[in-house]
Amino acid sequence: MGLDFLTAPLIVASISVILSVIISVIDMIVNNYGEVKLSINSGKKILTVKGGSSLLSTLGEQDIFLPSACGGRATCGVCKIKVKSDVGPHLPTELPFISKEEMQENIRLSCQIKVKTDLELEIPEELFAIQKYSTTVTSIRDLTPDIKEIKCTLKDSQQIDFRAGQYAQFVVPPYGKIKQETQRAYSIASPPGKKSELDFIVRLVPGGIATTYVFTVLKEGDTLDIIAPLGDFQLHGEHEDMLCIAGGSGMAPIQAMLFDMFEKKINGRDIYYFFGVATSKDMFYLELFRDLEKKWPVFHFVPVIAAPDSGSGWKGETGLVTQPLEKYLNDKLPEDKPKQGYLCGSPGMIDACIKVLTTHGIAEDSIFYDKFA
Amino acid sequence: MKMSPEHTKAAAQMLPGIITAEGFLGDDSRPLPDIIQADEEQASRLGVEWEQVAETLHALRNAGMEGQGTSVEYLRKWNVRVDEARGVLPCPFKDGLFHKHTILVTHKASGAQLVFSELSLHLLETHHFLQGRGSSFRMELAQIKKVLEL
Amino acid sequence: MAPDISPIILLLASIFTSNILLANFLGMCSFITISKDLKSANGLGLAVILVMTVTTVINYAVYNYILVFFHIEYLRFIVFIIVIAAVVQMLEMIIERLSPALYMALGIFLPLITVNCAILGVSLFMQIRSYNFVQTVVYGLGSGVGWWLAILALAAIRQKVEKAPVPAGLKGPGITLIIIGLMAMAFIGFSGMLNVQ
Repeated sequence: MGLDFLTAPLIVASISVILSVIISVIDMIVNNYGEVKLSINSGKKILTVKGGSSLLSTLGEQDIFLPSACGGRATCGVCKIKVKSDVGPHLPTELPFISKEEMQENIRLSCQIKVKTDLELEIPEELFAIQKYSTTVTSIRDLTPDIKEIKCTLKDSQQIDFRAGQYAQFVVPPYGKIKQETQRAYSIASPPGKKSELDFIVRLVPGGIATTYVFTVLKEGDTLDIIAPLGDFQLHGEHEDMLCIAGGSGMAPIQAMLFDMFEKKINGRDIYYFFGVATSKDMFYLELFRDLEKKWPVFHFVPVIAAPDSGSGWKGETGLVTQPLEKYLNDKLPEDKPKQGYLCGSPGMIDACIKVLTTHGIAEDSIFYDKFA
Repeated sequence: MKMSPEHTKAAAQMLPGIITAEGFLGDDSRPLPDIIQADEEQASRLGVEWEQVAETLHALRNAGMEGQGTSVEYLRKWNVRVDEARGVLPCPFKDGLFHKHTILVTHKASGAQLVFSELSLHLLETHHFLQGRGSSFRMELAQIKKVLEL
Repeated sequence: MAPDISPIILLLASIFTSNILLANFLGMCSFITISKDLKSANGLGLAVILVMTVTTVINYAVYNYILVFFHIEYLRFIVFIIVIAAVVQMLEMIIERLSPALYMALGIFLPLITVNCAILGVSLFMQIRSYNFVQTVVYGLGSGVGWWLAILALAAIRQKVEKAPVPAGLKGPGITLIIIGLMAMAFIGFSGMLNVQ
């Protein structure tokens, strides 16, 4: 009678609503970590932050940038930090990158630690020099069908100090179907002397997040945020002969080092640069380096094309880059002079070159390469 | 049907922009375990064995690596080229890291091609996951059968 | 009117003589599938104990103080299921926060409990037999423990049977159903020994 038939659905609906509300409340409580205090280097710096995110991104929001070549995906292992407080045992995602000694010193991957409680941290002083810079892209130029040269200028007349061989992390904003920010590392190709300009060489990786952004979205005049400078790849020693070997986009840090040395007029060592590509259309900067060779007597440029086009008239070295390397080590280089190796490229190329260099008596600790490959 | 936490976490990693720009699920609306099960069923229908496929792909990749970016002939049946990029990719199931190697295999007799990466080889071998429909890197079993002569 | 059964008797009865699985044959699907592995069987069993106890008690309150009050007892099936689904959801969130290790160990089993008919069955038995509050708690807890012990026993037996020469056609679900049938037959011997209503 009357509206009695409504009671049943109303009660059921109310019960459902009450339960949903309880679920939402529990969800908020369970996922809310509140404010948390981070104490760095025994209290030298104290930050009050919101919990819930990774240590890497939480510190990044406070302008403390730990190196991260992969943007927090636990694939590069460079975001290490010493966490003095107890945050539980090492996660399976951290183990591939933390050695036994590091485990005992409580070294963790900051991208895998969730900030839930107050933490005591230790960060090496030099990391405080890493900053985020906003740049304007001044030029995007095709060097080969799958490699582009990017030139940027720092905004607001900012300047950056770095060592040749270091890299920067591009901050790739959300684009297309991608909803969150990523970071990827690219070696700086320009020498440190140009304090407010930075050059990069970017190779298209099929399906790659950052390279797809650079190749399809980024335009001249756009803003590109970078985090720099990072990395340990750099020049060593003073008198040893240098054997630089690079392939494709691996050109970048070597180029930075070479032009840096040329600008500083470092003439006390012989430098051989073996630059290997697969086909004629993959070769670039030929004129640039042949020109450098003419102007700088200690520098010898050896471009190598594995399979040159038949009509191109290529008279330079052919085959895999390790072949002319061996030839030079056997015939042209004086045996008694101490030598160093500087390698930049894919893991396969690096391994093959290390083999050749060590067989010719170059010690493993005289061979340097960027480890985030 | 709700997925186990492992599958839910893996599927979340497979979205665009987390590991690769396009992600691993294409425009497939099926849940991850269903995609894997459907491919497993099709594999048995086609008589394709997962271990055999993985073994052949590994061999092709190793042969291709010798070329350091140039094309290499393998067993006179295939041309293989391995392109390498710097960096590593994590598996969405969080059980390994894989170099960014793209391997292009061309079956000489038919001209049919197959493209795979270190990561997609691992996904095939360990998880029987060939990527969702609509993904540009999805490996179709029929194509695998054709190119690898299985 | 609540039946005149002491809680201790009811506890023993729900665990052993009126085992929800082996006497009432409720909660079969996960019983069969998860008993393949002893560790998961244990994990699932413990989760079932928790969910069964909590949902039975909440359903007792909802039935007696809301449904009866508004004369809509006929809606108990829908309402009980809603409560069970909500409780399992809340439990998932709490467990995930408090113990990520346990959450990963339970895996898909936690949400699977929602569709376990034994959970609904226990709530309905509680209502049909008009248990009072203490009896409800004891019955929910006891049924859960009984379910847990039954799945542990089945998992252990299946481990042994793995090594036995079972005919090919019966391997897996086939021999499992036969084993469950034999276990149930053994438990028939207990029927009527202790009163549950």
